[in-house]
Amino acid sequence: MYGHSHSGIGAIVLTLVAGAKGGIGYLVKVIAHAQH
Amino acid sequence: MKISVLIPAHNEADVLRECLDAVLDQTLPVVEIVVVADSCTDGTTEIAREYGAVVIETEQGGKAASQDAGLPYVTGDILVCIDADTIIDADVVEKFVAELENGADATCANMLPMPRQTGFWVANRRYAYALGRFWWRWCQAQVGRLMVLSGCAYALRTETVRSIDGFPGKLITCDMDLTWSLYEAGYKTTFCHDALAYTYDPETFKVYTKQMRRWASGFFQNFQRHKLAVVKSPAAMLVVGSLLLDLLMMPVTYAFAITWMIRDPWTLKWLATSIAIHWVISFVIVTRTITWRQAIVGFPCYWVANWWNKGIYLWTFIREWILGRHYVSWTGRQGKATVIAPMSRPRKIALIGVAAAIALAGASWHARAAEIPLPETAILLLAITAAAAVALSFFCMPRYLTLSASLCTAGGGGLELNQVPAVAGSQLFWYLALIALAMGVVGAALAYLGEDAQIEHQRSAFAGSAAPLF
Repeated sequence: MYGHSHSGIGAIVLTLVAGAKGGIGYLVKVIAHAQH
Repeated sequence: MKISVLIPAHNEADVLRECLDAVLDQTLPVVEIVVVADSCTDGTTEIAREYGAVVIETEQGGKAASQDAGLPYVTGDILVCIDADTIIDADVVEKFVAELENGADATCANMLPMPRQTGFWVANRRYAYALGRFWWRWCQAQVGRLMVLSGCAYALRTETVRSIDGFPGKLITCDMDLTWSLYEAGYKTTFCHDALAYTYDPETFKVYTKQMRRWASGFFQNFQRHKLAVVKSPAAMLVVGSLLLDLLMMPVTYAFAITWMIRDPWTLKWLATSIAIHWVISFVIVTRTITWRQAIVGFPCYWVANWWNKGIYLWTFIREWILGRHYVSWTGRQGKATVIAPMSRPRKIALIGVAAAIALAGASWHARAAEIPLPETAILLLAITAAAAVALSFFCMPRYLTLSASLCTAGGGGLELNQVPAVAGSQLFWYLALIALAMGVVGAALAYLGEDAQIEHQRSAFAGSAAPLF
């Protein structure tokens, strides 16, 4: 709580969305780095 | 680039030296330290001067107000805000500046309890903070909506905070208010998870509970204040909405689970499995920050404390949003008394109205289902209304009125429970029951609507200390 933790369906959704966004961001960085 | 450090302090002589030592030990030089000594009666001021800090003595009675008092004296481009009971690693300021130069408008450190602190509540916090570092706060940062800049150590450009008219101080969790105010103004925050700050966490159940109650209240007050901005932002809805969803679903989920387990105790195996999965995942994450031993000790503490946290948040949701009773006191490490403002008159009227409506609906349903005569329905209606009013009255009614109304309700309810046929031959009992119940309802209602001396005293005491939220 207070930005530290929570558990349930909401937590799973948040983790999945953040994970997907983080993963895409990481891939973009890797590709950009490879092109340079 | 000139870096200033702003430290609000209230009687922090015991811990201020180590905080200032850490600030002076930074890899990037800090050119200015501003210490705002708020109502200090110990040696805080003298210690700050020893270290060459600009000292402002004031009597603000709150963190944000103290920070605001110090803001005009800040001359740096980058403002690092640190709590006086916090020490930061030597590279924290350097990492903050790198984040700000990289496009962030504000950034913050990950916090941990002081390494020398021990005990159940500290072990729980150590685990929770370590978990947040690479899970919850990482997730929030990924979607671009950090729930709160860690109040103990964060940084932003001085012009940024000046552009939102200084540090917002109307709510009891001013760090969250600042964070959400920055979002409203269009600023971007980041989470600098490599920067570590160590702070004194509550070591006893009493102080821990006070802090959690304040944090929980602050969360709901902040949502109330910034609700339009939250609703408009998909990222905010994801971060805040997911927390609220989990919180509100919790009673339903656990009621369902407990019922299931009572019917078939073997289903406990699913609970054990879920705990094991949670433990394995979180263990892998937290051991990137804390030691194996701290993780092994911390998990059971974290797991148990989490139940307590959820209970506090759920109750706070009811108190802040349904009862409209707001937490208005500062109860930090120094353990000041908790103060909660009384319910407003419109809120009382609304709640009694809702209770009466529920009672009416319930009584109608009961009468129709049982095909009982009108007087019995009337008793039931009054009993439920009085019970609801009395139950609500526990939150702000003087004790003697609560007791009288409770007795009336109990008498009436008892007659109703005995299904009136036992006294059906005697009209007198029916009338007595009706009178008693009516007294209960009227007594409770009057106690709600009347502004008694105690409530008036509380209200005047808090005038100006917290802005009305509704």
